[in-house]
Amino acid sequence: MQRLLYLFSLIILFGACKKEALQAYSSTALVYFYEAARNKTITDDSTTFSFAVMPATVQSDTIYLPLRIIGEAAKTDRQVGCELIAESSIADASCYEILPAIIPANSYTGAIPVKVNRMPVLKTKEMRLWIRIINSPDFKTGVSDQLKYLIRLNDFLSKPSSWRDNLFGKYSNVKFDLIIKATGVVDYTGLDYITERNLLQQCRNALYVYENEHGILYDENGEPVVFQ
Amino acid sequence: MTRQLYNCLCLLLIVLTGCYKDKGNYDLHPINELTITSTTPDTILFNQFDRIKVKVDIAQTIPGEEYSYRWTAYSYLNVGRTNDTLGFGTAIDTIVRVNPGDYYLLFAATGKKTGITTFKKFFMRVSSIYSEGWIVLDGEGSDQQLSLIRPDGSIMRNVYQTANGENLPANGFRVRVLNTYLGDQDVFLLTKNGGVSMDYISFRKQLNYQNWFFQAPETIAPSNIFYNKLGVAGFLINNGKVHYIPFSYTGPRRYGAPLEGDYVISPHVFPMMSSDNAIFFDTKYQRFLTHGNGKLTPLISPAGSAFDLANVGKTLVYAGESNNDFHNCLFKDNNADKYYVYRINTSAANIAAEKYEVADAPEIKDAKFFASSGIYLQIYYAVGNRIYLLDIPAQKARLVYTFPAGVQITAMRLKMAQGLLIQYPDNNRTITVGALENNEGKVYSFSISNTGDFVNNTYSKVYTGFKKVIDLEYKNRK
Repeated sequence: MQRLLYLFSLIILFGACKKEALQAYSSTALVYFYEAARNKTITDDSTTFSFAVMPATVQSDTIYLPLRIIGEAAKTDRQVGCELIAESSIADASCYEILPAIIPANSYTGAIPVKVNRMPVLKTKEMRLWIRIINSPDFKTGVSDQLKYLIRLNDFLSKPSSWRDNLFGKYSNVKFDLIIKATGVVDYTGLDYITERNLLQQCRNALYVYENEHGILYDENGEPVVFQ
Repeated sequence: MTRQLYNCLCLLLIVLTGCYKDKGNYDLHPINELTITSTTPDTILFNQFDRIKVKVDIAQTIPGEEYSYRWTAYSYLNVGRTNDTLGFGTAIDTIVRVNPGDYYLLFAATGKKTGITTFKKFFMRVSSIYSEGWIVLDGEGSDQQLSLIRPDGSIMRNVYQTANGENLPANGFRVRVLNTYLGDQDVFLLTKNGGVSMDYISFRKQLNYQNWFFQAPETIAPSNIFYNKLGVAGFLINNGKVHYIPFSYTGPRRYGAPLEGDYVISPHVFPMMSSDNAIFFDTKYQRFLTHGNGKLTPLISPAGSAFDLANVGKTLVYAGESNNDFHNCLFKDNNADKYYVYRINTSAANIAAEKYEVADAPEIKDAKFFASSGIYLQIYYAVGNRIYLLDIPAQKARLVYTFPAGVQITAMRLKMAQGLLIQYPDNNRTITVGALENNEGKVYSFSISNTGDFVNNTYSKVYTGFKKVIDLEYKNRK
């Protein structure tokens, strides 16, 4: 009887030696906001979009919120569900439109396009658009803390998300305006040191010219604008 | 009692065992020592694309261990450069394609069992036909060329057109060969309306002047380009404004916007040894400015200075490097033909170091070409067919050479190394002079004696067959 028990145990143990084929993910695909790589207009889980840094001829533009999926790529385009979180947003319907979002065929990434319009209200009021991913027939919601995205939308100068104090010093709208006029650059992500130096020098030159003509340039807080 | 005694004795025995010398339970074996020898000398000289053959012999104290071998060439200035692997045996017989320059050739033998590596190092100097020599810019207007007088005296003519199939940009006036601390060598031609950069190996064209900048200045008027003494930063003077680039950071090799300020910089500049520092002379307010980290700041003379750096009140005629960290500045009274040599010490707290009047310097007011000695307190200057030597402390000049009547001196340059990066055996000991004789340009080379005069009071070599020589620049070996 005892021998039979040993034999039986041995057989069970050997059963664990069977090579098992790799199991692919086969559940419904999941989708979430992709934050790992910084997109040109996106920094982490929010972005600030200001028409103030754009020519007056630009009346609308589109912001793309990057998406990534968990699961297999499909042979056809798939719809991603999304909506505005009305309770936490400050949103004038005339200022934005969430366009249909898809994950294209054979792709693991996509975007939620949000069309933004340059409406007069943006001159005085900043919109805060909280966009949320929701379940759709093709996707369920993915990484739980990467399902919401904030768009700050305005038409007045505001500190861009790529602003760096160690490059330009303390932020002010007046300084930012000077930088835009001097360099035409509004996004300061991913710049190498030599390019940064050139931008900073252009700003210094613009400030030098201004001060020679008008005296010290003061910002909206009454402090002189300076560059290091 | 007896029992206690036994206990103590036992305890003592236990304690005494601690004094037993542990002889270990291991055996010591002699290790296999490797000796690498070669019949090839430790210094190897050859030209780029030559076939190199080097063999090493290996002797082991305990024969039998297997080794893997590797030959690597890496830059003598081993900064930020990748190594080239040349072979994997005890001998190499290969064509070396590395760019001209100085390298270490490293043979490494690594024990397959022990992982211990033994090395043998060779110094390898790779040259090219354009490695070293005097670059001559000759001709005028749109008919100009660059030639190279090599150390063996042979002349490679028209090197730019040979490399590029096109003429040099017109109206060139200055050739510069500059070296960065990274070991790069850059060759520039400045012209009245711009310039061109060339690679140091073949004189192939790299960039037009406009592309040296992020944004080309509105007014194109180059007057000088230089790197500071250790090649840490580059400076370009355009239309009297300073454009700056630090080499120790990543990013495109482009000059940025001009440094702000109300100034007009002289083409005579003062490269310094430390960091990205340099001194400039502002011709607008006749003052000295210092540069650090992309900013120009007026220099102020502390008490005890020989002159006022912030208000010299004179016209800068010429400036050049002198001994140690001194520079000689030849100033002229704004309203009179009266000359002075102000000496600045760029490494001292008191920069305005010395001031000398020039009491007797024949024809100095007509001089167009100057060369400050880097070893003596002297300045050479040339007028017509005559070369004078100004002895600064003596406040007077003497004639050191006269070409035959009708000869016109058109260029003059002293062979002077850029800071500590470059070393010449004849540093500050050779001066070359371009001379126009019956419409033929010639380059004369003079050796300088311990008094500053020319050895045997004449030239040592002459090279002929040029058009009017406009500029001369020594290209250090690379």
